[in-house]
Amino acid sequence: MNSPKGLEFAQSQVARASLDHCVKCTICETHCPVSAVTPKFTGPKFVGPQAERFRHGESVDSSLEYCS
Amino acid sequence: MTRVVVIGAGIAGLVAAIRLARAGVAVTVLHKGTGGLQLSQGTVDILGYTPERVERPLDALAGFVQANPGHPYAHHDTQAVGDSVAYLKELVGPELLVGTPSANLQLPTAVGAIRPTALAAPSMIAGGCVDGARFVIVGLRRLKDFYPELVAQNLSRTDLPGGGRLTARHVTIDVPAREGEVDSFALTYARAIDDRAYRRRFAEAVKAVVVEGETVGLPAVLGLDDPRAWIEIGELIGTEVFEIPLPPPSVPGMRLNRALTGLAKAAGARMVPGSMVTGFRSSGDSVRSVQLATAGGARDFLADAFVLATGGFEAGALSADSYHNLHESIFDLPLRTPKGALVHGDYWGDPQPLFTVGVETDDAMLVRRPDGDPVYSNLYAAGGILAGATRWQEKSGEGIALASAVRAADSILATATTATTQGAAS
Repeated sequence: MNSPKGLEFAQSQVARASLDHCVKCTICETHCPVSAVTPKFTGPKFVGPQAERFRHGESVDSSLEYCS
Repeated sequence: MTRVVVIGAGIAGLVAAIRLARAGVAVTVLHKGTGGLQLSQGTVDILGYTPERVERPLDALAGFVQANPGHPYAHHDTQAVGDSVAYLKELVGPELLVGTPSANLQLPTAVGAIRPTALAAPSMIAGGCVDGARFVIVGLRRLKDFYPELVAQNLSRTDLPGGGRLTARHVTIDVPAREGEVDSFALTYARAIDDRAYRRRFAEAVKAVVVEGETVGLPAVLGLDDPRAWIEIGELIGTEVFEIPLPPPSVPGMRLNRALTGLAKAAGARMVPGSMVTGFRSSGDSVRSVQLATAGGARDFLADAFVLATGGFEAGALSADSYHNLHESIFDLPLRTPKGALVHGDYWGDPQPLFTVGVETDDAMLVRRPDGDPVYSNLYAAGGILAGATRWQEKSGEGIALASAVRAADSILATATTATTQGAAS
């Protein structure tokens, strides 16, 4: 498991565990200062646990860049 | 001055903090994040099902406790439960909660079921499901958490709790909360409705579809900051309107959570959000401090008494591993665990026994070993961590939280008074 591939697998498992455990409580949405002021950012729930399911290739949504 | 640390900022933690702070106690509220109150419907349940539907919750309590001797309500008489609910009602005022702990309202849900609850927002009251009512349920095209057809059809086909039927039809209108957004949250609509120009456009669009004699049911998005927005919308439409609570983000839940958090701060409680309590120190039979996992290292919060209001499994206050070893996350307290299998395989069947797991207390809300003595002399518990209830089925969550939070606070105050009196005498 110390091969780069093993580490990559472990990392993706950790990432999936956290995002797939989202229970859609939407507390993130109610605290997000960016989605509160613009419809151009679809909000942390869509961009996070929802959009994460587009797992092949590029992200389908680059609106996260509004936050940085 | 007595110092108290409350862990958790749900309805139990906030109410305990307010009651203590208003009595002159130095209160610190440690909470990992936003409490569960904002996920709630913005209503106050005391007892909705025993499992029979309950019309008068306070009258039903004694019999319910007799049938369920291990229930958290067993520590409270009817008067105490009623007083605790009245305390919350008094705290937030009639702009946020109306109703009485002695009679349940029967209000429509977002799936068109009829839910018994004791207190509700004034904006929900016109939705009372009584024989002969005529509703038009109005949905919003871009709001994906509300299906007016589902609500109207389910309500129409239901034999009402008080007998008879109501009629309900549905309409969908489109009044975008923000241009260019096709999928808006309830919160987005609520913020838009706080703006009076949008509010007027919204009311005009609703008015256009209402037939005389109908009461208008709307998703609960009628303003977040302005508690009178729903009244003005009703006036503009020219008929009675009511809000139906939605799945999170629940705007009525947010209103209550904001109000109680504001009251806690105004009373002088120190709110410390964002970090988890991960440990504690004890000496002899008492807890001396709890440790907050902050950046750079753990910080000790010392106090004379501690209120554990951290919730249940859903909040991470309790955990179960794959062998069904159960733990309370901060103090590893002894838990009351039902006999037999904790989880049965029938997903749609009876409630899972696992969810009655929790801590047991004495009448003062001191955490004790199951059927034994207090674990510490100054550790109290309130709310969702208490063993013995199936809250979502009984519709008892807020009532348990309020009764236990008020009792925990009053027990701490009584102990502090005794200590002061003894100090003065000696």
